[in-house]
Amino acid sequence: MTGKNSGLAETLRPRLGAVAGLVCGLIGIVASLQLPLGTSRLLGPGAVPLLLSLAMTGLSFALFIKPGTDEAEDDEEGGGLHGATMVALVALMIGAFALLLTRLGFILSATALMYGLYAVGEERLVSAKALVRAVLTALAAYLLFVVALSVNMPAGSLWGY
Amino acid sequence: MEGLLGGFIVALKPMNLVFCFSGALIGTLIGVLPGLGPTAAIAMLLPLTIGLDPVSAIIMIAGIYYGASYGGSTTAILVKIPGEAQSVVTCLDGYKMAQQGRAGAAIAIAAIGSFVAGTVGALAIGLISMPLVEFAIRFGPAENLSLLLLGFIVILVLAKGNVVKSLIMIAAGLLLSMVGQDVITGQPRFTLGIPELTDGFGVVVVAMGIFGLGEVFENVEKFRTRSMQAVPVGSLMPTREDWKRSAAPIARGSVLGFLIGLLPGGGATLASFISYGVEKKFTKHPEEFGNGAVEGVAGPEAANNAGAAGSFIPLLALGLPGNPVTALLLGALIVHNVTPGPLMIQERPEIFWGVIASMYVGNVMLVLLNLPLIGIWVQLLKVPYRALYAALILFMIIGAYSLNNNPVEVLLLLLFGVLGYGLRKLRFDTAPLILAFVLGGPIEFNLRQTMMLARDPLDYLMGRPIALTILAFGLLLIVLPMFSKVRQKLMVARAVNEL
Repeated sequence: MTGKNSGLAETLRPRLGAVAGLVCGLIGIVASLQLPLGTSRLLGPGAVPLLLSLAMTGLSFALFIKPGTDEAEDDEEGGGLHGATMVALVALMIGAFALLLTRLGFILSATALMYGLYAVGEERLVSAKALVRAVLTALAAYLLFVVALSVNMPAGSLWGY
Repeated sequence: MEGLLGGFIVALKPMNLVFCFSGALIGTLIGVLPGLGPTAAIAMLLPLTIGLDPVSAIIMIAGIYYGASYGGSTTAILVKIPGEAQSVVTCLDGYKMAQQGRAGAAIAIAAIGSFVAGTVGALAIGLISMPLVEFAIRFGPAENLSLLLLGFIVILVLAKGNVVKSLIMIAAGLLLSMVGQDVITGQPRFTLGIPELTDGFGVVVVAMGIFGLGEVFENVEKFRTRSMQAVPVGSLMPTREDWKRSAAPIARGSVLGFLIGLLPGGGATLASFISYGVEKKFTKHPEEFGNGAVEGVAGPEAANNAGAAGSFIPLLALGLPGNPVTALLLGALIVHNVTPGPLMIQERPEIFWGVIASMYVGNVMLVLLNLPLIGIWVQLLKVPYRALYAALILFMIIGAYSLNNNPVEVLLLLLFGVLGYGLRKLRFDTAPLILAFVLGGPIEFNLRQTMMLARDPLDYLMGRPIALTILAFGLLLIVLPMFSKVRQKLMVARAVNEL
């Protein structure tokens, strides 16, 4: 990232947070108004969320107007676009695992997930080392959680379980 | 003291010793991974305790907490990367000692200081808890509400960076806690018709996502840029001079840390920072501070351990978590069908005293096991994070799924993980969010009950002296720093005029 881009990111960063807060606050206001607000003595389910949403909107607006100075943390180097792509890949794999878990069963889906994560770690699509590690990790997790701690993990509807 | 002895009988049962040992060991293992501290460690390892009985589970979690804190101090000394804020101060002099070839002595003093403080903390909890519980039994909704509000005020006063951001996080945490059935009428709120949201978000999934997965995502981003080199440990035996110079800071840190830990919002981090400041004032070698003064390791390490012990009192006796770690412990207790608060000591004394006794046992284990194992922890520092993170993610996923045997929990974990990562990128402090999330239910419940009971809220409050005192104390906490800021500005203005 160039110095100019980095400076722009530093300017936009607090305002982006404020915009996110504003959006959440406004959604909260609309959603709270769908619920009964009650009276001052008998507060309804929507009263407290409405107050909080209003507070959040106001505070976010204040942050947008006056973002203030953020002290950069010690370890703020980040990973740039490459780092963000890695995070997105990992997040996608976890999402896919959640969708496949009950169909493929724990061992297979965990092995696939572990392979993907190790491959991301090695930054290689095909890796025998990642495969061996993935199988070993999935098996170890199965033995620890399912066998030793009796955690109920799905065996897989695709295989008729 | 009878209760504490009973607690030791529970904590010293062979099975519980095994769980305490495992917790301390695994906690240290996670804690020595750079960037991962006690909060993330507990969040990640909570799933391990789900199949256990409540007493063993809580004993194991307490072990994880102490183990991770100890691991964080080790990385602070060896590679200058604190596991969590509470070890930041240890970096200052601990790492300098390590650079001077005295890492072993620094680690040993940190462990011994923590052990002494843990002992003082466990005894003090035994002495203070009973009177506090007897006092707290008289609390009604107004007193509970005041105490919860005081907790938020202290969080705000101590918040990192921008106060407006912390307030936004508190509002967001409270709003998140309101997803699910309304606490009074049972009407669904913000569930979007998704049946899994009827009971609201589980504290374990939220905490695991925001602290655990969010932290992992942040580390994944830095795969390429992070490199570490641990300095050699050297001899673990402190010199006679080290012992002499550490004794008083450890004693002061233990007492000071414990008292600070009692405050809502206090705890290990604040205790370590204040202890460092105090030791800097007391030392005969101020020039050595920041350059490898052993007092700078001994005092804060004792204080953060005592602070951690002290912060257990509001949690166990009043059901009020004062910091993210105790908020997670509250979540863990709830998962195991245990409700902390004044009644717990009467209804589940084995848990109350068992946890307190296990804190002491855990500290003994850490000294006996971790000092000889220091070589292994140093080796672990050399394992690249990219080889370890996958197992951490799998742990969290299994934990999330096993809460309700539902893959939707894994998706929620991912959602909160992404949220935690996003908040870190936008430089929001996530601690107020998780505290507000945990306290949101009780706050709303007590607020609505107070409003129902009070015809005129002001009149009602005047008749509740305890609630009034707590609120006045909260107000004082807001006002006092303002005066000190005004005074500072006046002094600057005067100095400028004199120039």
